[in-house]
Amino acid sequence: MTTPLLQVRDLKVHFKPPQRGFGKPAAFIRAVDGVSFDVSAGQTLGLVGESGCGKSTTARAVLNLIDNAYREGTVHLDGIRIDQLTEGAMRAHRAKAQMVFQDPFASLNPRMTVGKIIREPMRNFGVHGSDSDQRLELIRLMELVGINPRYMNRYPHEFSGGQRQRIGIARALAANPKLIVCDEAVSALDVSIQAQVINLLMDLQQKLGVAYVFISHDLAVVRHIAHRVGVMYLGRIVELADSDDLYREARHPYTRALLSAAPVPDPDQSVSQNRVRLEGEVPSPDIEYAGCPFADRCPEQLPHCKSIPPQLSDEVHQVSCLLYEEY
Amino acid sequence: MPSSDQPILEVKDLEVEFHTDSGVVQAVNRVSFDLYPGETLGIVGESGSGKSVTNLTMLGLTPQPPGKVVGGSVKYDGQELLSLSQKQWQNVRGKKIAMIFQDPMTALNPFLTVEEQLVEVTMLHMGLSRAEASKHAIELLQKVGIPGAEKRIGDYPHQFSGGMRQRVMIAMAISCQPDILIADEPTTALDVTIQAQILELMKTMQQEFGTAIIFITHDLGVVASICDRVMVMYAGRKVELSTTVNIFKHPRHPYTMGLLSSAPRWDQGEDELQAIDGQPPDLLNLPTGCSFNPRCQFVQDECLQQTPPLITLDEQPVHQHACIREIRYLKENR
Repeated sequence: MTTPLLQVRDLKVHFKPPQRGFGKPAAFIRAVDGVSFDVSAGQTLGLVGESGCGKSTTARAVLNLIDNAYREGTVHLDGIRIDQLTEGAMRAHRAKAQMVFQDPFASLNPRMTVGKIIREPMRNFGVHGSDSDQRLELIRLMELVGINPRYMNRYPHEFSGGQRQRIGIARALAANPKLIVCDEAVSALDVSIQAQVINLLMDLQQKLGVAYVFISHDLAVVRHIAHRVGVMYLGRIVELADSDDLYREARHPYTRALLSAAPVPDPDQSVSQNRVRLEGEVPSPDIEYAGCPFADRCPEQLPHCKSIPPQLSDEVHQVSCLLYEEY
Repeated sequence: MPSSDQPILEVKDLEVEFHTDSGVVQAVNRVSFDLYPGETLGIVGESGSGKSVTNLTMLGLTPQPPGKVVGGSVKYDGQELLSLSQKQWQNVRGKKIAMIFQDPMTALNPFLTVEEQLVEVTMLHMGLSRAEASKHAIELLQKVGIPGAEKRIGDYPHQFSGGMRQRVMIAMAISCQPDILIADEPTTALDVTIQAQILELMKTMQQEFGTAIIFITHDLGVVASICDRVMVMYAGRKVELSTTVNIFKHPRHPYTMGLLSSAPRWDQGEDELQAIDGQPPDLLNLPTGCSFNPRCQFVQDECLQQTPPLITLDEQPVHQHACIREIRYLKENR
């Protein structure tokens, strides 16, 4: 097997909450608590889960964008271990992995022209050396993402949300990355525009062979774009499988509950027959669980679920649940 | 399901303008619809379609200025609402027509406990004493599924999670048993499992009180699961209205068709989404003719010249739409 482009093993990120007054120190927030996955070149890994499940923290930790937290585990990007690199040493590898953010309004500098925004990574990482080369590349990128290059001297506020997200994608591509992390990149867009941007991302992957880590709370969007999908709950991956397998044959009770709660735009299917209803809410991430963190809400809880920690299985369709383990 | 032939709310030719520095925006352009007791009407549209402004107007909450209601009528149970004074509005708002907003954190007062906010409504509208109102408030919180209601009632909004805060909002909205509940993206900020709980709660409340619900959302999945009828809006106009099944199975307006085919589904894995081309409409700069014509895949010369009228054919259930091409097709194939 070839080495994957991105290899993450046992990643943990624990934040220390600020001390409030005196008294006993607050417990660590276990935002990411032992996450492992691979992303192959040119493929898309989707990470889904509800707010606070640690999907965004995972993405940021992978790119070494987290300070002031306790970290554990290893991250290899393109065969090089990057999790222990200093800020300076990491710089050499930043061009390989870029990011597209959720909010197309906040993530573009309002005082820079679009041309300048897209050219900034070229300057930072010294790709396309000369000024005229950079200009040609800028025009190519703008055409690639579907923004007329004539608009390179306009400012971000002159564009709609969808166009701005295209500009953000062009900026990420300017560094010639092998991997782009998209954190809720289409969540703020209207449905009709969202579909355009999803199609653009898939099209770019075909043309350029770039890999994505695609983070979203939207199960439908992730099914469309991802080859493999990881479902997260309380800082862990509870199920990781090829997209079609996961959606057709979800195995973890949490995945099944999540899917049956997600409405489908079809009045015939809306009254789901075997609907798994989940009571209560996601508990606080500052508790250390002896067993499965989902056990308390799980409709299929077994007697040992609270004492024996489930392990993510080793097959292609990975699941972390005692229902599928011999213990 | 419509349980009565008499609409509880009649909106006719509603027109709302916004006066901005760059010009006048026609946010709501001659929109008409009826709402029947006990039904759920979905209003679907993208940013700038006028769906939220329409509903703020029904509560007398259009920000004026810059907004201005320039025409039309909104009748609640036969009574014209648009000519009410601010004082008269107070007898309608919260009591007859209540609203649930998208973001319960900004809609609830952070300085008051949940109890203070809940009793205020019932003491004002139902003339309850403080003790009665408190008791009523606890019952409401129990009804909307807040565990330990007696204890939680003294908490401040920030002490509740997002889903629980939305439950508090619903408790407040139903506290006077309104005839109409307007819900503006009430579950958009919530996680799917919590969204499912809230939708179920709204359905239960509707069955218990027979409330008519207007449900504003951009999420077609939510529409399919909760609405009886759907109105689709584009650039301030109503472009289609019919039963949920008709809208999803036999859409007539190209915008509705585009919206449906661009929504990804988790239960289907087709590779490419059929996106609608082009950009959302610029309300300051609408094209002549049909506002959707720059993005429409079926555009014809006529569409560039005249604004298509809203067509109501003689059919049951009623299926209104505003598309010239479609009406010709329907006439030829009947």
